[in-house]
Amino acid sequence: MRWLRLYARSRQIFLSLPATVISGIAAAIPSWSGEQHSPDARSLVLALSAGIAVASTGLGGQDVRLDRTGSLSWAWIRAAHALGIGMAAVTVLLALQVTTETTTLLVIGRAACGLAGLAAIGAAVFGAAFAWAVPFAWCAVAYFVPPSGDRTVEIAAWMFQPADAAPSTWMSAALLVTGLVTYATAGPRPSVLAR
Amino acid sequence: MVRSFGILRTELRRSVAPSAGGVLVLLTLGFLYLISGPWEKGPTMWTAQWTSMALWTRFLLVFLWPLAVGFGALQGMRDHRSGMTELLATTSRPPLSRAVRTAGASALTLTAAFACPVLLGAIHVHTSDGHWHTGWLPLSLVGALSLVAGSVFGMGMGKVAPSALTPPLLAAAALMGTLTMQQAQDPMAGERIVPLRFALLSPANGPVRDVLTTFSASVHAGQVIWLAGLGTTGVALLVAARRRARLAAVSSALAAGVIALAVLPPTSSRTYVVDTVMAAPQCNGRVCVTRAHSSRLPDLVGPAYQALRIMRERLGDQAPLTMNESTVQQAPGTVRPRSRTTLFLYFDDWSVTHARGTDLVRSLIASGLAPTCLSPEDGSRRKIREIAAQSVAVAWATGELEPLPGTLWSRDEAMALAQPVWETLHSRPEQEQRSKIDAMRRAAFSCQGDPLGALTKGGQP
Repeated sequence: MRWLRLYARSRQIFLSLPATVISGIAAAIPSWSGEQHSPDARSLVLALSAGIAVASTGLGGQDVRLDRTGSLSWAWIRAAHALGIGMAAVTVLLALQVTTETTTLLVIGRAACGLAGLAAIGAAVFGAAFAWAVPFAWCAVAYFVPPSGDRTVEIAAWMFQPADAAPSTWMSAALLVTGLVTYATAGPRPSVLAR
Repeated sequence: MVRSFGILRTELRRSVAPSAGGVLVLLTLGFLYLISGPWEKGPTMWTAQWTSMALWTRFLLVFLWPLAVGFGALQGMRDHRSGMTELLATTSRPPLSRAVRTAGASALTLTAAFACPVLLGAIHVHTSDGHWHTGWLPLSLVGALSLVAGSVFGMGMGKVAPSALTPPLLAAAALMGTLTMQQAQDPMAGERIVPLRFALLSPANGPVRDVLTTFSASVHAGQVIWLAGLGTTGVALLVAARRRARLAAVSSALAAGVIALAVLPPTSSRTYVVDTVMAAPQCNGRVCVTRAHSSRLPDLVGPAYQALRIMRERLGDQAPLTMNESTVQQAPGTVRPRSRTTLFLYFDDWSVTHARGTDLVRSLIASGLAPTCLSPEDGSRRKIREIAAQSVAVAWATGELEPLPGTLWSRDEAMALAQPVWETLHSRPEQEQRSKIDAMRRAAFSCQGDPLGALTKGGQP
């Protein structure tokens, strides 16, 4: 327990979790105001990407190289952390009761998997401080891709496609697996200046 | 002098600036060239005219601007990340001198990144038949300024709050802002979440709807004031060491925001104005188009005169005399302007833009005899009856019933409706035919009643 608390503190989870909740609340406001029964899946996915972007800053500690000297099975811890980011972001939205529709829940779940994978890729390739840009940028651009049944669109804007779009689901799964494997094995890229 | 360039060169190599610029260029070009959307088709596509090119590239600021702010914040945290704030505080070099070079590197790369799609678009517009004018320049200059100001503001925020959470939080908040404001900027927006004046503070405009509309000068002025204030706040935050200096820094953006809100126009009609250069009429006798579409004039004149002549033969002095492209900004759900003496042309109408030769003649006769009341995208039963009535009217003028151009999806249905009406009409004496056509035209010009119904039973006094 003590280890978990210290780990959470070193990963700034006590800061990033409230931020994730706030971004979820921003997306949930339309569903609470009563005019709209349920906010559309697109704005929920956008809120999800903001939550994951914020949480991804914790994919690296204060000193990555010092961390590595600890005799812990880092690969599993890293994989669990990356997966946990996606799950936490979904849990926040579920706890806020943003939607009751199964299809919307499926879209959110798929988006969370892929975006968590992207954040993990970002942390492994660019470092934890820069990881947010990868899921955030992809999501922000894809938001403006007009919906169509086209295969290219289903892959490029995978997080905003209807729940039954198979290429989008495969894309999300591929990103999650790539992210988890890369991040678990390589770890976060150390900052150039950290010694 | 030489040394300051040396620092700038180092910043260009060792800061976030080049990668930020690279990411922005890749996203912009990938979006414009690879994704299919309203920016790459129709008369308002981004490579069609100078103004539409400038407006579509600025449309992309909706996601480019938040990224610039976020990357700026990453840059502003660099001193803190590398644990050298205290060391830097001991040097005699003024903080402003450092800040200007770091900000300058970002300003250079972001301006270059924004200029890339604009230059590519300029080549496209120049090689196609876009009409050159300078009205688009302020649009793109404000766009580039917005990226610089946003990134410098992000740097200041990163310096003040050097937490790893600052960049993603700032970027997410900025995206929420640009998204909301872009929706509220849309001239066709029904109920605005934020007032238009406030929404215009965001540099990301909505989708381009026509090539004759542009922003008024007061929009540019207000946006420049606001963005300059935001950038000043960023620089001031970068150099501010004490709490009081930071508060003073924020006041710059607030003051600029207040002044900008006073300058920005409150209503849609004063925000979006007709581009007088692009809307200037270019005529060939009695056929006029706007300068934006002047390249269409040579192809149009022949069929236009033929259509005017046929209508003159059949309608006599009730036939339209001239043909003009309409420059009226039309709100959705409203009826297009119509006149019995002038035939109004619309270049967003597929049948006008794509039809050639006799097809174009028939299409022009159709809008001269019975201008449409419903939009071309309308798919209702009423629209099909309208097309059928137009087809019969053209058949009456030319003597032959043929499908109208540009009615692909409804062609069979419209023809099935038109066939019996045309056969009955054709069998009647000339006088009765004319009185039925007149009744149909009354229905079409007033947009009251059913034009096709008027053809079957109209004409009886």
